[in-house]
Amino acid sequence: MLAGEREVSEKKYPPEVNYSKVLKGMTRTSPLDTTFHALMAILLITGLIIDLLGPWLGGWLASIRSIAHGYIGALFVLVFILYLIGVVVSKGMRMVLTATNYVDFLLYIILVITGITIASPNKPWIDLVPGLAEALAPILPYAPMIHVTTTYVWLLFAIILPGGVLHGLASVYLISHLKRKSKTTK
Amino acid sequence: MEYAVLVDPAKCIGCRACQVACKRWNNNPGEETKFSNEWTNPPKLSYNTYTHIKFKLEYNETTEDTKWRFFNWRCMHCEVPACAEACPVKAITKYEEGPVVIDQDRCIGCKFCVSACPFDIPKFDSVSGKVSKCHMCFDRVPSKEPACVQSCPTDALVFGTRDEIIQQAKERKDELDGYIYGDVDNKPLGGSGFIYVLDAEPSVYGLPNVGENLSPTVPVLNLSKWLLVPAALGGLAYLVAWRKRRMKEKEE
Repeated sequence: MLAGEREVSEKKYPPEVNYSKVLKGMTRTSPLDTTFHALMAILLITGLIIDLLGPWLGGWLASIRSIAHGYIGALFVLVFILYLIGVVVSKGMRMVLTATNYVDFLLYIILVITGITIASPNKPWIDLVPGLAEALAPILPYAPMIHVTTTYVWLLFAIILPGGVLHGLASVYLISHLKRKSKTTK
Repeated sequence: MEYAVLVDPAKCIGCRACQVACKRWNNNPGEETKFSNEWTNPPKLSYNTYTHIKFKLEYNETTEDTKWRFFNWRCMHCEVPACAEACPVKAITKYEEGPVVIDQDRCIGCKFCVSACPFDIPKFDSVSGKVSKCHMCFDRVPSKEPACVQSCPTDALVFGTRDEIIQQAKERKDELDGYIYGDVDNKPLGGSGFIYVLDAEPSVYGLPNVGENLSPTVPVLNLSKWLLVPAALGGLAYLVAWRKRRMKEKEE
């Protein structure tokens, strides 16, 4: 053995990886990243449920629309703003971002603006930001169409180009694969 | 059989009996309100106010005359309701008798109908998380006329079959040398369940110029989900290519 080289136990390599470990690690490394991704996943899933299963589930979706898509959507807006500030401020974050991520950001910005516009008839909450409802009024008739279409365009973009969905699926695959490998090695 | 209501602003005296009758029939609470400069009160429709009388004061600078115009305003009950088309949970139904009704149990408060309506009628309530609007007293029609019509002391609102109402509108239009809004001259969204016979252009009353067909935003909204098909095919193609690559790597 060369000087300075550590002996690695065969039993410990490759290290045991599972979802819990990865999530814990991600949360420890970047809580903002974890929150951003978790909220985004919730919003995408609940949005798809509302749009695709709405005619069948009807009123059962009221709380999903109001809490899981509405309030979490509002929280996402705040987290997304922090995330964007993080991107601007941190060179490290910018270094890992690709062109695909920037296109994703553009689509998220459209989703955020149209989402707030759709929510703008929600009085009195919208009046907490004076003048916001009036400023968004001109795009109100187009907001649902742009919001829903942008979501599907994002999905198409994220699947056909190696964007968010494939990135997510690849992560899930890698975690499962490593977990299996680690069990086999033992 | 389809029914309709004739609205004749020239006969309206602005007594607001229709507003009160609507509140009473629907058991809707009163709301704190302020008089606006134009005296329309409440100034806007709300979750608990399905109808109101709009007041318009006209001033002629040449003759220095003033003229009041009063008219009943609420959901138009369109033939092709944009609100119903935009609703993702199919909570809004156009009845064959004419009313366009929101099923409160199905409504999820997504506000898509609020955006889709060119007349700015459906109103969202943050407490109940639902949207409401005039339902043309679908629980009375056709055996009884809507509450607003029943209460009108001057016959500024008249209920009948759609054919009868259109015939009456045409006769009244000739008397007034006026204009029909809702059918004949102007058919917003395929025609409306409340048909106005006016003594002036609709723009004088502030009635919007709405086309006969739905705005393209609503069909695009409904068709956008088909983008999932190329997305799914793209994902599948990607998986197949990835699997082939893996097999090749294993063989090597």
